[in-house]
Amino acid sequence: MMSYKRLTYISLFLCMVLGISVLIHVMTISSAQVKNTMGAHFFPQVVSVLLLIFCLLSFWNTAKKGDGKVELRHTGHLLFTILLVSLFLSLWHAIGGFYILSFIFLAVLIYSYNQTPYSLNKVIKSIVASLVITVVVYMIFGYFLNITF
Amino acid sequence: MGLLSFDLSTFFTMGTLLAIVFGTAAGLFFGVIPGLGAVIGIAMLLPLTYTMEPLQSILMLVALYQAAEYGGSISAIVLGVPGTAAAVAATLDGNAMAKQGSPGRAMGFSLTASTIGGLVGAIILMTLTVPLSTLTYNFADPEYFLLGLLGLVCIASIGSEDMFKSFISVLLGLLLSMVGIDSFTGVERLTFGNVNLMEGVTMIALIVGLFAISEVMSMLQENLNKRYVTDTKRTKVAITWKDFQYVRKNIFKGSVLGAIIGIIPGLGASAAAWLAYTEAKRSSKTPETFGQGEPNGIATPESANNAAVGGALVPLLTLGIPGSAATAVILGAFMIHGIQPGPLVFKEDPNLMNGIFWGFFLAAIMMYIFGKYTTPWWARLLTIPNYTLIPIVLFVSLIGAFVARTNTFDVWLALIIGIIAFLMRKLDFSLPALVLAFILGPLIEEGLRRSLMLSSGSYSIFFTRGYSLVILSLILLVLGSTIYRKLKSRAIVQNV
Repeated sequence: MMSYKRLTYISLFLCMVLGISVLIHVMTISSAQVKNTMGAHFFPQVVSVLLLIFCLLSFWNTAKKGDGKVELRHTGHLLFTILLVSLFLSLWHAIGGFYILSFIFLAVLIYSYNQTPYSLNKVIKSIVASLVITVVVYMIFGYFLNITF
Repeated sequence: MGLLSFDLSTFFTMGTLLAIVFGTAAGLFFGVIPGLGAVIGIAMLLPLTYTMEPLQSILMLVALYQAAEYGGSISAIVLGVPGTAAAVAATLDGNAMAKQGSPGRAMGFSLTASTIGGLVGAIILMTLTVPLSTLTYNFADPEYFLLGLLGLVCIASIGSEDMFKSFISVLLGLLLSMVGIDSFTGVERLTFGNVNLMEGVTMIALIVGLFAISEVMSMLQENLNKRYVTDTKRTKVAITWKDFQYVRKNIFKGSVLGAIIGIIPGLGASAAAWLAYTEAKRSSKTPETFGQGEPNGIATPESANNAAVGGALVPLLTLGIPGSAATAVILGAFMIHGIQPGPLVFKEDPNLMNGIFWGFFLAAIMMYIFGKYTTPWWARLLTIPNYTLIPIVLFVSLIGAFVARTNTFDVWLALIIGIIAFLMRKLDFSLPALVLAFILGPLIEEGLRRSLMLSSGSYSIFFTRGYSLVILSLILLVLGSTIYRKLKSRAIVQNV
């Protein structure tokens, strides 16, 4: 559980950093001005300034309100999923073999998410489920739609 | 070419019919499973539209949208857990009727009402779209700029409880829309030297990340071994003629109300369902029966939420302004095929528009046929445990993000956006507002810059045209009513 207010302040601060970064970035754009029109920098500038203003207003609004809690349950699952997806994408990009990697990726995910204790049945279920999903994906995308991964 | 002179033989092709059938089946799947819903379904099927004809892809997604609204009521009735936000109202009486031993009758009310709602939505779509498109044919760049602003103001005002965060979401969406090469000057903006961002942020990567991947992360917060237990007996979907006569008046009222609410950007099927439910209860001679298995409590919101689908397509087709997150994603299908919805498309491609109108009718009928004979099967889907469902949704989402440009960069982008969107949802930022702003951003910026070119830099162009003044008044009205509503609710809280 984390403080709603604190997380909101952090998010608003990050939005303001983004707004300022965009402002600095567009200032370096050498606007190829067409007569009687705004350059490429104008609209990003307007939006960035508005973003800063609304972030400040939201700071003020949040400060007035009571606090709450933001529940982040099973953060282990979240982090594990993000890491596994990153690993899957990196390996796919580096070595290819999309379908084999997909099969392993799905089997690991299904096995990990299943909270029942270890058993051979659990392993077999994960393998069979991931095999079925991989084959279905191949049929739809690889065979019928002719997409090469 | 008029609607009635449209050559239906060009419409009834195997490809079109299969697209509607597939969309309907997919819609029932995404609607039945709590937490998924129409937007995620459309986002996940959007990559498939690259390989399809424009009409087929749009009809597939529209059929999905329609069917998902009915599908949400299946789990609402059988389990008491609404499959979609728009099915919450039907849960009250639907689940009560199911507990009294009549789940099939409850689903019969829902299906009949949904179908009629869908057909009424189609009629309203047909009758309003053509005259509105004629009106908007007179619109020029100042009007398109202001219309885009109106769409954003509507969705920001209604998108989230926290209005400031809704507006921040809109501004973030606008910033994202500016990534890439500026169409006026050819200058790179916000690419930071990354070649993969030269064409901008891919819409599919954004939508998959915002809705599908962030939803997967939300689902990971729940019990992964959760498996719903359903009673699959007595799920034969049927009502008698007498049942229908009892609810027909409220079905009609709900349909008209739903279609009108669907037209207003930012409201959508959920608001339509609740407003129709409360109106039915208010006007009932026996309001105390609502919540106890009252048939009108099921039929009215269900007719409204399906009629809202037709209503939401009105601003999309006539103005190119999506009325909801789902229609914003459907707009993506148009853009994939290089079609900009609006008045010009009625002139340049009337076959497409007429095909959409007829297809909408057919999608409603297909939903009835599917729903009548396959609802017990979809109810069984609820027994798939989350530990199998989540990897499927995640994996298909990753593939979907890849398919658009066959580039793994888009998958990485979807993942990063998904993580950020998950945190944004926790903090009450509005994802529909962000995606709408992303889609409308180019229209707004181009409208603004072209208008200023026409007026030699003078902003008076937005105040001297009649259409512009009307739209400006609407913007001020929406803003004013939102501020008034917030101040009023704050005053009530302080008095309490």
